[in-house]
Amino acid sequence: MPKKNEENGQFNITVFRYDPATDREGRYKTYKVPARKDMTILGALTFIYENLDSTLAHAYSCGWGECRGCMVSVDGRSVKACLVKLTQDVKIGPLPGREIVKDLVVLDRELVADRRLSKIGAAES
Amino acid sequence: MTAKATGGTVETDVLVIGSGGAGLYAAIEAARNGQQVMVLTKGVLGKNGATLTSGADFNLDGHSIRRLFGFTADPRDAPEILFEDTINVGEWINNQKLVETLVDDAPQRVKELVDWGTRMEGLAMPARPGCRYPHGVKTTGLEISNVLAKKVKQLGQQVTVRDNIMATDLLTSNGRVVGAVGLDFAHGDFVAIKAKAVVIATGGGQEIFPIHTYPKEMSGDGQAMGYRAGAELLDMESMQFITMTFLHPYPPTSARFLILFMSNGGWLLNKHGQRFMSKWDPQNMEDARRSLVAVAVNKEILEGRGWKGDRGGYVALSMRHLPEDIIDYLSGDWYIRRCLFSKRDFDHLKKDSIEAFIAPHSFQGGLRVDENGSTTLAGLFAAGEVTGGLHGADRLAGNAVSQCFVQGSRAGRSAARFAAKNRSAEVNKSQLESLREKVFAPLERKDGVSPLEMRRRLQKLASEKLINVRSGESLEKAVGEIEEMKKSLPRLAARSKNPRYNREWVAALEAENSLVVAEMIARSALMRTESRGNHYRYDFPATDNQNWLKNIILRRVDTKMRLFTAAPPGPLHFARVTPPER
Ligand SMILES: Cc1cc2nc3c(=O)[nH]c(=O)nc-3n(C[C@H](O)[C@H](O)[C@H](O)COP(=O)(O)OP(=O)(O)OC[C@H]3O[C@@H](n4cnc5c(N)ncnc54)[C@H](O)[C@@H]3O)c2cc1C
Ligand code: FES
Repeated sequence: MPKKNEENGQFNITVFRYDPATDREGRYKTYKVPARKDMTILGALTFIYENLDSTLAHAYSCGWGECRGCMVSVDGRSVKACLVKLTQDVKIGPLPGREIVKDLVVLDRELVADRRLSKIGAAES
Repeated sequence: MTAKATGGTVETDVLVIGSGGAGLYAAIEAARNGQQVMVLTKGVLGKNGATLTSGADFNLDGHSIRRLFGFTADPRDAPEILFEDTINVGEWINNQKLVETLVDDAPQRVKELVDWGTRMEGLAMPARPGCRYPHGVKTTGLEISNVLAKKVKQLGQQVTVRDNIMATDLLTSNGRVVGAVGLDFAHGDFVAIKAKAVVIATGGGQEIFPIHTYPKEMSGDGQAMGYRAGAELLDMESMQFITMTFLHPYPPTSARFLILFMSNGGWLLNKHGQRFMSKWDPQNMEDARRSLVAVAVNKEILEGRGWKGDRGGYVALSMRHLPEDIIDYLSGDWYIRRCLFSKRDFDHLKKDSIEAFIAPHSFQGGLRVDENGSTTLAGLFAAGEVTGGLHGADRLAGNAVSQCFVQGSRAGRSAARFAAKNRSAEVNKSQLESLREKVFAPLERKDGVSPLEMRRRLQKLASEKLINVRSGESLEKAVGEIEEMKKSLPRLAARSKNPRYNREWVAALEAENSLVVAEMIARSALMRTESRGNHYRYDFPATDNQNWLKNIILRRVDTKMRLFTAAPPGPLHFARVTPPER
């Protein structure tokens, strides 16, 4: 059983924050999110973005385990955020080994490696 | 030649907006016809859009299924049957030419998908509501997405895909569409693409509702962009609602539906323990057409025969009367497994009912296209769920995925032909400049209305007034409220001023689109003074074939939304199928 560290009906969510345009390195920031039995990691991130800190960047599409667009690293494990229930305090970071767009959003690896795209990017700038 | 830059504007032959089934098919087809293609997607290629999340069963007739795959489909299931079932379910306001192309082309497209590596799992069983036979074959949305994305990559330099771009408006010149602009929201850059032809394949507009079955990027951008450029849309009052369970997480990032529970013998009960479907369709009961079931469920809730929960009303779905091994069997179904149902939930089902409510599903209305995917604007083509006319008042299950391939392919080919025949036109500098300003306005505005607040307000309105059971009075109120909300659009401001992956900035740009789509639904639903398919009017509960075998078409004239009616186009006009007397 995961250790429950619920406090006043809330969990501490510690989230990686980083803006490559301005920050030299990332830092972690902790938010308090209500403990509910239907709250997922994706739900917690959405809750933070909508109610606590609109500067938080995280991505997702389908909301139910199909698209892989919500993948993040939770306590060191790469997971689909929409499929993991929030049952304890967690530390959330971006998927490792990828270029960070901002906070938890990374570029798709295959596409970064794709020369066609970087060429177009260069032509445009 | 790759897409090249000209003074900050990128140039391509064919621009495709959207990377779902319709968009990718259009891109592949335009490239095969020798054109340079660019695809913009509001997410990451192969990782967004409804196609990816679909069942996916998709329809083609049984004869073709036998011929192409050797699956034993019912020998009576001829192309004509699929044609008729589609129009029966659409309640005779489908564009029959579009239906004909769907039936005619689907086998070729499916064959092609298999040749490209799609694994088909077999026949889509059992026959879905409205289908006389199991018309479809089954695979997964993920499989289709992967195959199409791979195919696009194989086309090499001919197709460029740009992730994380939200197209915001079309560029026009002398009545012709000549490109599009948008926001690269990953980096916070404005993008302008000049194109000889544009294909819109942006899917539905479900985000106007708070809870729905679709991915979150469906904010009606394509419908709204087309509308602002002057294209016609039709059937916007027609959207599908589906009976669901309360399995979505908090905050509601998605809703899941358990059609399988119903089609495998589940009962829908109201708080008096009545199987209320007996009032609506005593023969098919819970297996009646989805639109009818959803109307019935919502009427039970609205008339106080359901229960109230913290997220709205619901009725009960019970399987207690079924042998336990059926429930055990269902627990092994991959589709249900995917709904995050645990063993405990299944054991619970053996003893007790679960909550069932309705949620918005697919859009049937959209941009008005002909069978080649041409919209009413020169240079603008459209395909997939962003278009209207194929499904009419309700959609036959399984037709939407086939539609993406058939229409995507046709629109891609038409766009390629148009691009080959027409030189690229000059982009209007002042139009470009004002569209750029419009994109940056919510970021630059110091303070103002919160885009999230605006979305919440619209979603509340839609969930109360634009759902399947409607009335003239509440629709009029909806139109009034939408007009009121429009006044706040020029004051939308993102709280964070950081341009990189700023979700509120995107939400601000989406708000205008969602609002215009909501207006289209409200005004069209108000005009249709009858009940048909998914559109049920309390004040006009009967289907009126005398006056309403028509489509409601809308267009922007000056700055106002103008609606008019027209009979579905000939020459097939009811020649093949005619409505029964009511
Ligand atoms: C859960 C679920 C199950 C379904 N099951 C079935 C089924 O079994 N059978 C069936 O026939 N149908 C089914 N449907 C319906 C069907 O999947 C869709 O109608 C169809 O896939 C739509 O395809 P599309 O290409 O038109 O749009 P989508 O696949 O939704 O793609 C739209 C694309 O446009 C992009 N986009 C949107 N706005 C912009 C913008 N402003 N700029 C750039 N890009 C943009 C999106 O990012 C996305 O890439 C299902 C739908 C859902 C949600
Ligand atoms: S949001 Fe699609 S997999 Fe999580």
